[in-house]
Amino acid sequence: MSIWSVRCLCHKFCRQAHILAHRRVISPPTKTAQRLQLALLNSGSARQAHNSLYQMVKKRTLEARTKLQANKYPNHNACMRVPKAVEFVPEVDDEVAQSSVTKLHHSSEVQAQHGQSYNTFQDPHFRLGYADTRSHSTAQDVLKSSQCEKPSEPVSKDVCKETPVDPCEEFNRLRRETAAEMFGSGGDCAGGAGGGGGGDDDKKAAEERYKQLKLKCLVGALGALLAGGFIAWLLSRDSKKTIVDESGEIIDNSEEALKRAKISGLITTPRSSDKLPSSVPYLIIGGGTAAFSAFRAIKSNDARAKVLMISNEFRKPYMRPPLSKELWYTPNPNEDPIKDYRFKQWTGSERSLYFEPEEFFVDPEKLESSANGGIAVAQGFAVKKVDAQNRIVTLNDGYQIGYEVCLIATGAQPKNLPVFRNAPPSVREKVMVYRTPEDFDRLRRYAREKRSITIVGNGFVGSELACSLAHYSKENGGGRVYQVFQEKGNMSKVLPNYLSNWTTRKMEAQGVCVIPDASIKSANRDDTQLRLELNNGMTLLSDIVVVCVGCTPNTSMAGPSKLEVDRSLGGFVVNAELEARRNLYVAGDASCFYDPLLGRRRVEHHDHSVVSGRLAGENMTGAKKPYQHQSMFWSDLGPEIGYEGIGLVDSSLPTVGVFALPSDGDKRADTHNEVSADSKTTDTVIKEGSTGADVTCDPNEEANYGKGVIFYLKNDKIVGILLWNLFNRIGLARTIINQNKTYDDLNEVAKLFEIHT
Amino acid sequence: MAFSFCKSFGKDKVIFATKEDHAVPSKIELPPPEAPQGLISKNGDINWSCPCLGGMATGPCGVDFREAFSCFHYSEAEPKGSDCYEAFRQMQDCFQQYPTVYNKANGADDDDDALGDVMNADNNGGSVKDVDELSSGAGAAAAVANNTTVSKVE
Repeated sequence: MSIWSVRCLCHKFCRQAHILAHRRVISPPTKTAQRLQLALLNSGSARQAHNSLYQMVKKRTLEARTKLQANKYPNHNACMRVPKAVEFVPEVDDEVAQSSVTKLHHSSEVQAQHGQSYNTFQDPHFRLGYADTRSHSTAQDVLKSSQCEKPSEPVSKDVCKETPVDPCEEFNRLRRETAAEMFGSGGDCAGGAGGGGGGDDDKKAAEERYKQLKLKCLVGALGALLAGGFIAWLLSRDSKKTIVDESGEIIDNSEEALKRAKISGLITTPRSSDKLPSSVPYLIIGGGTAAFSAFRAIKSNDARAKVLMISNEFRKPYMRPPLSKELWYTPNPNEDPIKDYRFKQWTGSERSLYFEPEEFFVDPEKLESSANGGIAVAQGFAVKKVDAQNRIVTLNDGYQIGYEVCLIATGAQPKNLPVFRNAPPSVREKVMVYRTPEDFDRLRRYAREKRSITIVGNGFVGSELACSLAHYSKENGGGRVYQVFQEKGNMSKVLPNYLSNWTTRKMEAQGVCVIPDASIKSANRDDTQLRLELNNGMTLLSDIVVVCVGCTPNTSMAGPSKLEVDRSLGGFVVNAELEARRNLYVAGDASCFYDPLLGRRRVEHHDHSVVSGRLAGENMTGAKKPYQHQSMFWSDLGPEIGYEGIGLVDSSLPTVGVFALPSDGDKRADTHNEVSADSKTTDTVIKEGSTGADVTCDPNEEANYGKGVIFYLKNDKIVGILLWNLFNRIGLARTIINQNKTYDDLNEVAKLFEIHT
Repeated sequence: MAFSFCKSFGKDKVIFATKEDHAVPSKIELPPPEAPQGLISKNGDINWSCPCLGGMATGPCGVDFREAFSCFHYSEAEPKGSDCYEAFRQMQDCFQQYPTVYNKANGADDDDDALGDVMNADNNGGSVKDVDELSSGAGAAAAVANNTTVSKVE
């Protein structure tokens, strides 16, 4: 009997393995044992192993990618399409505005969080730069000079709606035409235009005010009506819920209603903090990726561990990368806010944004009594202070929880720009940041209504979102996507100049209207839209602005807790074992750790949250391990660009890129077969006048950076590697970085990456 | 012979390498890559942190799973695991209490998902492009059990 049952189980397991073998692995069927051994234990000590792994995964990767991407990006027309002039019914707008207000309220509290972020290389300059409107950009001059010739009126209208000429096209044309002029008379002209524009602006502003006043009366009355109705509805809904909940009656949708209330931040889980245990063995502050990764490690090493997670979000732990990528490509999205945000992965399979379903988690009130332990999440609570000496955490409401060992994984929150932060509420309600599923829902509502969306910032989130929105807009047949930033190209903190420019052109080809060299001078609220005045003279009319200018780590508890925060990098200062104080660790975005290989760092990426969370969890169970596994990152920008990086991928470092030259192409110039790593001879000339570089680049405009590997050097050593449209080679890149060596011939190193396959 | 060529943008150098150039094997010798954690450590113990377990050891039935799997792994009985009926039954009972967590392996659509994740986690040598590493998958148990069987058979 017992043997039979075990056999049954084994049989079931074997069936699974069979599926595994047949779907995933392409290798001789006779070597099943060896193959599984390889796959599971992955001894992988020889290059042979590398090779076979590449072969195995490559095919699948390529197939999956091409298939997905073929579906995803059907259209490659640049900003050519004349957008439909969409008339908005004011009521619709009010509704959006209305929900925006509530959302804004809600998300401003919630978004303060956790987990990975893409904007690793943020520094304060980025933000400051935007505040300061006068940058000496070519675009500014170009646009100013165009303003000299024309009265400013047509410029200040929405070019998209009013004129058949696409603003992006126009912008680019002007830029090209005046490229030569720029050097000479540009400044002069710009000055004149600036003055004229100012006068005009005053008149316009006055008109605007009058118009706004009139409208405000109307809209106000209407809004009051709607708001009243909405609030009444909300209240009635809420009270019903509360009644249902408190009386414990079972009405049809009570469970769903409760779930909604929880997710929308109306009630915390548990209802009040005194339902939480007064002391726990493992306490995790934060509920993002690093926090969840730490839990996994703790539970792996301590089978019956009881872990309490305190999250100020109203959701269970979830992953963020798909918010700017896959979720936008998932067809037939479920509109229900209590949905689990399912999306299609690059492997082709579908999954939820949540790491685990609701059932996985223990009720916080039952954690103490549970025999096998588990993880409980207190949702909607914030921690004010950690007393490391007495091992007590104090919540915002004063409730105290004792711990044996504690992890801080509070993550980071998106920055805003002063121009928006100091704006009146009517402007602010049309400005959002992007970090949570709520933000996704809100932005998609705009996208679905074919609104025009402006993204500010050129980093990971901004650039990925711009691509995703451009795609969505194409599918949806409307809605312009602008991306405004003051740098010259996308991802300029990560990619070397030439690649950054190339990327920007690719993004333009996907339909993103990229406006580089520009910052936002002022933002005013029109009837329904925001009017953004750029410092290059352009005016954008936009229904929503998404500010993607990086994050600041959440370290507000550092002061009361007497913990050190790094002055330049931000984040809690911890040692190589991620320890801030005895039995107190910090992981994820908020951790400024010492990397024994590359020095003190703070990293905002998903994989880093996974890696550092795991390390912290292991050390919380006594592993005493230093940081030694380099985390990686990845990003996708449309059909032609996908990249992965590891180490210090910082465009301010000297780089050597090795790209695959198609063998049939007859391109041959110099016969430099070798490159000596004398890259420390910093020719700042080209860097300074990068317009000059653009010009010299022009004959080779067609240079195809389709596929390659880029080495980032510091003191001639390889400290960072970027894999450009090359996949499944990050392990090799990690090995090379761990060497911490100088190589005479980086082309030889590049050969290891098999960039032509 | 086609030549590779080289360009320079200030501090940034670019090499365009031909296929022929890169067909010649590299002269660089590298040590073996960071050995990813396997399921069975060198001393024969089970490594519960192995990503190949896909979260099985950390889920609500983690304790039951460990007991069943340990029993199976260290079983001296013939056939192997025949003395583990009780442990496996308990594990199954637990699984049934959490259908949304453990049902993945039963549905025809999803089972290859979990297994795929296991494969990905390992194939990439620890690098996880998938956001999935932190997610569980009951299918992992399958791979695990099968692997053990196989290695014992050998």
